[in-house]
Amino acid sequence: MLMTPFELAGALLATGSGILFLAALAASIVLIWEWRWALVGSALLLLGVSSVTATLHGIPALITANQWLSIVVGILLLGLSARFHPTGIVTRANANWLLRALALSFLLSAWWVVDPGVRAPLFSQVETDLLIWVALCGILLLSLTASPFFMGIGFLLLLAPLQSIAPVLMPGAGLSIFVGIAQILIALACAYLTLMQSAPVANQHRVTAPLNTPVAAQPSAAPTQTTQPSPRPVFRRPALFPARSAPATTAPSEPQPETQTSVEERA
Amino acid sequence: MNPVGAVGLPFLYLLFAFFGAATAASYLLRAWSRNVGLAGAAAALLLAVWVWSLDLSLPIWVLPIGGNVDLEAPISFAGYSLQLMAVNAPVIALYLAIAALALLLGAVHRHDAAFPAQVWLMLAGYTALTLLVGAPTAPVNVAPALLILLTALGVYTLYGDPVQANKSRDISGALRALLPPILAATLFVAGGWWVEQIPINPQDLTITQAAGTLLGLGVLLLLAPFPLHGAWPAASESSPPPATLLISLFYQLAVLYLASQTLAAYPFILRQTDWAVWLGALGLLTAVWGGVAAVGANHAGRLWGYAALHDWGLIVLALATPGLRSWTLVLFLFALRTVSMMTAAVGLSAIKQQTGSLEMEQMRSIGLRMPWNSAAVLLGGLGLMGFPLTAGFAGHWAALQSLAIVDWRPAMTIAVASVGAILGFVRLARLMFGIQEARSTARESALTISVAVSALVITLLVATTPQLFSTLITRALAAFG
Repeated sequence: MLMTPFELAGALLATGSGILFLAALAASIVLIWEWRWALVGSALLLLGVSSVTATLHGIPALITANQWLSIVVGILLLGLSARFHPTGIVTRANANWLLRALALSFLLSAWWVVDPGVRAPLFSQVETDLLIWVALCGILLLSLTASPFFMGIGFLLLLAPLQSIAPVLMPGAGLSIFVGIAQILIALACAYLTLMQSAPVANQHRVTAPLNTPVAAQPSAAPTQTTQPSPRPVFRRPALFPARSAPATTAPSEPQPETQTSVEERA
Repeated sequence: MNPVGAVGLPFLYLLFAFFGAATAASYLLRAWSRNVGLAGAAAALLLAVWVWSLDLSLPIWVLPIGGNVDLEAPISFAGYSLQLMAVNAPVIALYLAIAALALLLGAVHRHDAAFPAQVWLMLAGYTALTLLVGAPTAPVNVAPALLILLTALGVYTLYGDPVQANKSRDISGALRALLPPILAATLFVAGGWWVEQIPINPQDLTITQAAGTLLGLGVLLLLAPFPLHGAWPAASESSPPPATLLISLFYQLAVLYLASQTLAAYPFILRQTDWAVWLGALGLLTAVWGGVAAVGANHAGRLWGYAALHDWGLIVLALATPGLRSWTLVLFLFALRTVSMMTAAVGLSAIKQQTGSLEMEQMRSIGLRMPWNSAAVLLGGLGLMGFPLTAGFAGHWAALQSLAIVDWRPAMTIAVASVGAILGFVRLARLMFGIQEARSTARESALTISVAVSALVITLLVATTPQLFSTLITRALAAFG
C-alpha cells in the first residue's frame, strides 16, 4: 500500500515508544522552559500528533497537509516574534523548574490514581491519553506564565485534541480548516502581543554613580597627568548607623557606595 | 424562508458588503477617528433600528430604482449557509446597538484610531455566527470553533492602541478569554458525533446521555463561570473600557444565543443529565466570587469587572431552569446589564482619559473635579449589583424573588455577596468624593459631561420604568425562547 509522507511519519510514531516520545516531548516543553526548545518541541509534537492521527484513521492527505501548514505557519509566527523582539523576549515562568516538575508529577499521579477512563469515540485509549496529556501540558503552560509567547505555545498544544478529532468525528464538516485558521490567528495574536511587550526587566542593569556626580559627567577613565589629585566624592554612610555618620571621605581604593542610581537598557 | 428561492439580490450580500466597506473606510480614514466613530455609531444605530423593525413576512424589498432585494434569501458557501430569519434578526439588532454604543464611546473619548474598524470587523464576524443556519453538520456543533476565531480577533481590540498602550501592563487577560471556546469546541465535536449516532440506535439511552453530557459541559464552559471567569476582570483592568464593553457583551450575547439554540435542538441535555444542577451551582459560585473579590479590588476597572462577574453569575443561575419564564428573566438581566455596563464605561473612559489610570489611588478627589463621570461610574457599577434606584435593581430583585421561591438560601447568599461588592463601590466613592490631597487637576469637558448625563438619564429612566424593556424582551424571546 502506498503511504503518504504524513502516514510514513505517523507509522514511525504510532508505536508504544513513539507515543511515549511525544508525551515526553510535551512534558519537556514545560520542564525546560526555553523559547527555542518550546518552538522546536511544540512543532515536532503537533506534527507528530497530526501524523499519528493520519496513519491510524486514514485522514485524507489534503487535510493533513492543511494541518501541517497551519502548524508550521503558527510556529513560524511565534518564532519570528521572538526573534525580532527589540530587546529580547520575556519568557520567564512564574515558577522554577522544581515546581514545574512537581506540577507535572502531580498531574501524572493524579491521573494514575483517579483514572477517569475517558475515551474519545473512534479513538483508542492510548491515543486519547496522549491527546489529553498534550492538552494538560498546554493548560500547565498557560497557568504558569503571563508571557504571550508561552501562552501561544500553550494554546497550540491545547488545540491539538480538537485538531485531531475534528477530521475523524466530523469528516465532511470542514472543521479542520477552521481549526487551522484558529491556530494561525491565535499564533498571530500571541506574536503581536509578544512584539508589543515592554523590555524585560532582566535585561536592565543598574549604573551607579556618586550623588554629587551626574552619570553623564563622570570623569574620564583615562589617566591624567595633572599633579592635583582629582576631587574625591563625599562619602555618606547609610542612615542605619547614625552614630557613625560623621563626614568622611573615602580612599581612592575603596569601593564607592551606591548613592544614586539610574537604569539603562542594555544594548 | 422564501420558498421559491432568491428573488432578486440577497440582502445579506448588501449587509456584508456594507460591513466590509465600513471596516475599510474606518481604517483608511482613521486619522479622523472621532468623526469616523460618530458616523459609524449613527450608521450602526440606524441599521439596528431598521433590522429590529423589519417585517420578514414581506421578504421582497422592491427598490425605487428597479430591481428587488430578497431579505430572506440565504447565501451559501461550501455547505455553510447564512440566512436572516425572524428568530435571529433581533439578535443582529442587539449586536448593532452594542456596536453603536462602543463606537460612540470610542469616538467621544478618542480611544483608539483603529477601534472603529475593529468594531465593524467584529460585528461582521458575530453577525455571521448568528446567521449561520446550515452546515454539513448541525450549526451549533460548528459555532464554538467559529467563536475561537472571533475571540482571537478580539485580542487586538482588547489590547488597544499600541502607541497609547502601557506596555508594562499584564496583557494575559485578553488571551485567557480564548480558553473557554477552545475547551468547549472539542466537547461540541465529540458531542456532535454522539448525536449523529442516536438515529442508529434510538433505544440506547447511554448515547443520548453521552451526547447530552458533552454538549451540556460545552455550553457550561462557554458560559465561562467561576473558575473560568478570569479573563473578564483582567481585561476590565488592562483594556480600555469601550473595548471591554464591546468584546464582553458580544461574546456573552453570542454564548446566550448559542445556549438557547443548543437547548432547543437537543432537549435531552436537560432531561438526561445534571446540567441544570451544575449550572446552578457554578452560577451561584460565580455571583458569590464576583461579590467577594470586588471587596478587595484596588483598581476601578477590576472593580467594574468583578461587579459585571457578579451580574453574569446571576444570569447563569437564571439559565439553570430553562423555559420561557427563565429566558424572559435572562434577557431582562442582559438588557439591564448592557445599560449598567455602558453607564460605567462612559465614566471610566472619561476618567482614564484625564488621569491616565484607573488605579484607585490615582482617583483621589476625582469626583470633585469630574462629578458627572464619577457618578456614572458609581451608578453603572452599582447597577450591576442590583442596588436600589439603579438600572439593575428591577432585574436583580426579580431574579432573587424567583430564586427564593424555590430555595431562599442561594438568594440570600447572592444578596450577601452583592453587599461585598457594594462595599467596594462605597470605598471607591469615598476616595473619589473625599476632600483629600487633590492630585489631579483634570476637568470634564462639555462633551464628556453631555455623554455622562445622557447615560445617567438612561440609567435612571430604566431604573424607574423598567417596563420600557417589555417590547424589546418580547421580541427577543422569539430568538431565545
